Amino acid sequence: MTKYIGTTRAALVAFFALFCMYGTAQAAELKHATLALQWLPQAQFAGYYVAQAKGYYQDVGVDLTIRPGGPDIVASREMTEGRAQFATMFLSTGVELRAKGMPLAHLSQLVQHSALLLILKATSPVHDLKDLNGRPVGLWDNEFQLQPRALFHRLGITPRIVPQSGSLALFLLGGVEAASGMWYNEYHTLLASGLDPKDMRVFFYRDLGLDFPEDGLYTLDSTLKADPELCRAVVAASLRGWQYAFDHEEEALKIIMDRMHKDKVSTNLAHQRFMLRRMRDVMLGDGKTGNHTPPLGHLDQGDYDRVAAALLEQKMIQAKPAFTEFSRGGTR
Amino acid sequence: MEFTSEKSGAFLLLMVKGRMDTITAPEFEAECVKWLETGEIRLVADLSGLEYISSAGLRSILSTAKKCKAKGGDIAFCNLSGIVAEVFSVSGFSTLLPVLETREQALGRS
Amino acid sequence: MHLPRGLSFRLAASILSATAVVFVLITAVTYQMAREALLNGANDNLKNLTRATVNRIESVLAPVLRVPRGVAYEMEEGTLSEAGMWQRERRVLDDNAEIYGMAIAFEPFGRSKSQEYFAPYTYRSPLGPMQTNLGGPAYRYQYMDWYQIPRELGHPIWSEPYYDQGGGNALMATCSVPFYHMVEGKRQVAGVVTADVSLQWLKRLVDSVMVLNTGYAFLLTSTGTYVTHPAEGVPFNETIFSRAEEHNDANLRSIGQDMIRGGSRLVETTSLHTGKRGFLCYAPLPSTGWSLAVFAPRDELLAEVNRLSLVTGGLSAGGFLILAIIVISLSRTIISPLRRLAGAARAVAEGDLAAPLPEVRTHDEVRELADSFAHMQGSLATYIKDLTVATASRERMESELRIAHDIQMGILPKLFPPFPDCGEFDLHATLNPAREVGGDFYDFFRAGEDWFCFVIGDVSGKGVPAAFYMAVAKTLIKAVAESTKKDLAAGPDPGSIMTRASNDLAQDNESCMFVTIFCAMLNMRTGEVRSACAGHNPPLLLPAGTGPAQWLPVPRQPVAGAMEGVEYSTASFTMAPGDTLLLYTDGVTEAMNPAQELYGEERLSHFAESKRGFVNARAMVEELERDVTAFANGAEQSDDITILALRYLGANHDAGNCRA
Repeated sequence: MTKYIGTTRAALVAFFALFCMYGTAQAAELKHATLALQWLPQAQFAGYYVAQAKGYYQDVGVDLTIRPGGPDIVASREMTEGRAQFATMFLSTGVELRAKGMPLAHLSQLVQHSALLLILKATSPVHDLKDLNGRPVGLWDNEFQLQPRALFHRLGITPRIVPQSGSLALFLLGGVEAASGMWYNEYHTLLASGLDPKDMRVFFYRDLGLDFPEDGLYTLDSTLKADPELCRAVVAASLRGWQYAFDHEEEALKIIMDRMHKDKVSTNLAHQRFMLRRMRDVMLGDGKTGNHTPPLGHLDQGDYDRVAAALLEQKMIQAKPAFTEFSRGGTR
Repeated sequence: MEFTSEKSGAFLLLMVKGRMDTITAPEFEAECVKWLETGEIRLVADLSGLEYISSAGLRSILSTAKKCKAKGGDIAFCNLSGIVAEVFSVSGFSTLLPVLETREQALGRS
Repeated sequence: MHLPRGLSFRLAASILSATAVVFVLITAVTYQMAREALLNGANDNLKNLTRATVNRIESVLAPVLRVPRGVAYEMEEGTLSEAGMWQRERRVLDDNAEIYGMAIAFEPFGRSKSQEYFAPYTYRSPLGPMQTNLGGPAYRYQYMDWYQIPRELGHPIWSEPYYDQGGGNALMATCSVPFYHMVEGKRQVAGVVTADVSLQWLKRLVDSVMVLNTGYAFLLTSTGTYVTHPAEGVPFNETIFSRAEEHNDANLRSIGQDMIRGGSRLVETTSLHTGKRGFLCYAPLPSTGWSLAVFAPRDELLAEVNRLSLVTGGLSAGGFLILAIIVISLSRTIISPLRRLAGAARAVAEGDLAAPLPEVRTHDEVRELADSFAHMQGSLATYIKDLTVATASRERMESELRIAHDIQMGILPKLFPPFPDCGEFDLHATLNPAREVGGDFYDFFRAGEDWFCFVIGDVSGKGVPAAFYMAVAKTLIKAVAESTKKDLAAGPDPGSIMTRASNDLAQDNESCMFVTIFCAMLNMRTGEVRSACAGHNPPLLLPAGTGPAQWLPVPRQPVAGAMEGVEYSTASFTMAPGDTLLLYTDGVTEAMNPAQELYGEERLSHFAESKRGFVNARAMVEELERDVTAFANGAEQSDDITILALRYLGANHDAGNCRA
């Protein structure tokens, strides 16, 4: 009996050793990379989480780590400070940073339409946006300021800007006339707080001539120069992940919910489902907005020019970076 | 049959009404016997109310007549009409027994 | 054997189905009423529970506001120095066990132009009260809800509950009160005083609310977020609206909207958590704007009622069963003797008069029936016995009557032709009594060398008495005719025969019977007919040739045998050869058909005339008999039918040696 066990044991050990060697051999071929997302895990980044879970990055030889963003994290700084090779950010942010000297390279444009909203209560006396003049309006910081400022400038109004935190409580309690929100996020939060669509008056910046593309995939010039294959691979796998997420909604949601639970981010399935569906709308076009939707991943130069023009106008940048220097994805 | 009686002189007038057939015939004889026993031996039967008579009725009349005779009396008949008169005639009873036309005649005898 | 199942079954079935209906009705009605009462009571309980829980929560939360508000007033008074603030906060914590921490946060650069953030904060820690200064680039509290909202709204506010990582991951809420100062005559926000309150006790309280078996309570914030919920993973992840959205429950959404609007109601709904149908009672917490709801499952509420109904139903069913047994056995005891009586009745009907009757022990109608039946059985036996005797005697009488019939017919001359050697006449007669024996007769005999006597008669009445009289009368006439034969030189005299016969008959005539007779003597040589008629129907003379039939014009004289002393006369006429004399009794002319029409003399006359060309007397008699029968058409023969036909053929006609 003992002899038998001994033989089996030896066989197992040999097998295990072979397996490890094979595994490490495989692993040795994978490139490591880190992607810094601009916010906490949620369906807004479904494509990346799905690609990771489904092994699409591994399929292209990349062992990708995802670093979620948060209130105290700036995705671009993760790159510049070397903690990540790739990052996501708004197009306006990318252009602004590039204009201010950061060697950013735009790889792929994911969100083609702006999801930013100005939300009022239906009971508000403001029907015309001009009447927001002098009234308190909740605005987010940074990249979320471009469109509102452009709008107010165009309308010639000066509302009282009230910095908006992650909460909509002030708006719900009537502390501000209008609040900022993302179509795929805060709008649903309000629905899930008991407001019916008929209780809200929503203005889409994309309908106000400010349809600026948002989420895009970026890297640093250095990374692109050093390993263009890596960049191409990451983009391809990410796009593949997004396509899969749109085609397999429930599976994608499960992946996202699992990740959010693991990271202790509070959410619920209804919210994420709504978010994923709206992401599809802003990424692939919902057929409702009159604006043209470029193919997924492609940065339309016209969009680029409009965003740059708005930044210039608001004096957030001094000079407009060259398109060819900025957009380096070039994939169709 | 119905009988009404009336004393008239020496006679006991008996008004007979109904039918005299096999069933009712004995009633006539019984009625007459009743009067005979009270002493009325001279009977007159007014048959104007008699609708019908059969041979049993005739027998009863004959029997009654014999009984009257046995007591020393008699029985006369009057006011025969219709079938009764015919039967009396055919059977010859109108010859055998005193049969008068009218009551007055019957009661006027001696 | 249908009777027992029929009556017993029907009785049992009707009683039982009626009681079943009553029981079911009772059970159903009591169930309904009890259910309503219970539900009402339960709903009241639910409301009370909700209210009580709300009050308990409020009793802790409501007073909390007073503390930061007091400090805010002090701040406005401007009496507190920095050290004083720390002290004040410390004292608050000491005095209020439910307050976990207090902060006095100033507007950025509010306290000093060089310092952006000034917010002394004292809080409990496992090591005792700790103090720190809030605010920094990483903690820009002026944009946080607890500061920004009371500042913008200008009134105290309770924050949404949250989990405080710093405070051991405890459930907390912050009550913020703004305080003001005057700047250039205008009232402006100077800062916000906050009190952090631990809500662990609240969580425990709401989680511990027990309602029956699977009932529960939950707490919503003013935006509908679940603070507590029996389901894991729901608090702070889901709002009542996201849950409603996930399960497509529009009803839950509207309930949620009513709750966050401060509604207070009791509604019937289905729990997403347990899937059960039940009642949801909710009420707002006035101080914080949150909302408490308590759910009570309906089936558990109704468990009591269901039990009651089960008991009622069970009792009813049991009672029903007992009733069924009683009714069925009772109906059996009633029906069983009836059934046996029916069997006995059948046995009796089939001839077993001595069939034993069932014994009935009860003293009721069934017993009466059994007694009556026994009585009937006895009477029946007696009756049958009597009937048997009577039948026997009747049969004896009938057989005697048959014999009497034969005897009676025997005394009538039947040899036809009577004198085959005498060709002077053709004679035939028939007699058909109405009963076995009758009162009609005919007779014919030689009465001398040239004379032939033929008689027909009809005794008053029918049956045996008439038969006796008939026999006497017939015999008497012949005897008288025989005895006077030699006396009269001029020939026979039917009249005197009749006189003597009548007198003889009238003597000793107790029964007062009488007889009609037609007696005639035919001179065979000359055709002369001498006759006497005692009340009898006049014969019909049918002449040879074409002349009409005529009724003999005989004098109608009284019936014979009624009274003594009646004299009869003799009539005389002559028959020509070929003439036929038809004698009959009134059985012929008074034969009635079902329409109560009489055969009548006219019909007889017509019949005779129609038979003019007949073959012989026999044919005529038989045809007449047939004709009368045909006329009667089934009506009962009420009187004896006697017919005698005599056809004179003439002296020359085959004289033969009939003068023997």
